[in-house]
Amino acid sequence: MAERIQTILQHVVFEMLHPRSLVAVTIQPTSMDGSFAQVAVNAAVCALLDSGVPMKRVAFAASCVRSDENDDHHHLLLDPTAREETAANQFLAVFDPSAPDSSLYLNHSGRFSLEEVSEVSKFLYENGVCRVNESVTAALRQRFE
Amino acid sequence: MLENDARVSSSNSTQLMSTQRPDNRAFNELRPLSVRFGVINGANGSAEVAFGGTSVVASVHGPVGAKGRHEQIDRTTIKVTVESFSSAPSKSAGSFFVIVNKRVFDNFIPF
Repeated sequence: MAERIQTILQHVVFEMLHPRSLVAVTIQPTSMDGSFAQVAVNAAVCALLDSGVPMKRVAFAASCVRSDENDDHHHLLLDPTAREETAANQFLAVFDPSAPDSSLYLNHSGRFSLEEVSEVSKFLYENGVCRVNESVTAALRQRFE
Repeated sequence: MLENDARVSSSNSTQLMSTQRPDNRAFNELRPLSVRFGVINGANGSAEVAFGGTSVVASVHGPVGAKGRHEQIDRTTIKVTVESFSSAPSKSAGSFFVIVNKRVFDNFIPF
């Protein structure tokens, strides 16, 4: 988990500006009810925003599970709880909110075809990442007012 | 509409998915999202993000001078540590996280 988040943050932080330096990010879960990776990535990016470390872009994560009722029909459930996570295939996507066509990170368990990956990514961007971006922007405004 | 598409299935997992979500959310709905900045005074940056029942505190220390294997001559090294939710705090964690872990243990494990 730490390595995955580290990979994502390397695409977020402006690394070249501070050579030979270290940025330490510590993530502490305080309560758990599913979608931990999504929450951890969003918390790490928010902490970086708060720290003032130079960033190339912001990125937010959203996750979903796919219920496989049969081959023709399935549901995508955004932001699954722990109970929902155990029952289906999972998908995590990280996007720059200003660039819907280029995901920064995709990870899934279970079988997804190329078309399904595209469909799920679009679903996560529109319903998850954009809404997280709105909430974080509002919280940032409140913080610096 | 996905929300109205009720299906009956004998398996437990598909029953969970087929009618309505247990917390009455729409399929494309996030849980209530809360974001708080600056929750840790000793860190250069920190935030607490909660989606419903999942809550995470993240802190950033740095940039500081890197030493040893962390030093890269052309870029910043980013080191991420994910503390465990249910085990004892690691020795590398800062004092704040020891306090957080103690509170978690006090709340969830009866002594």
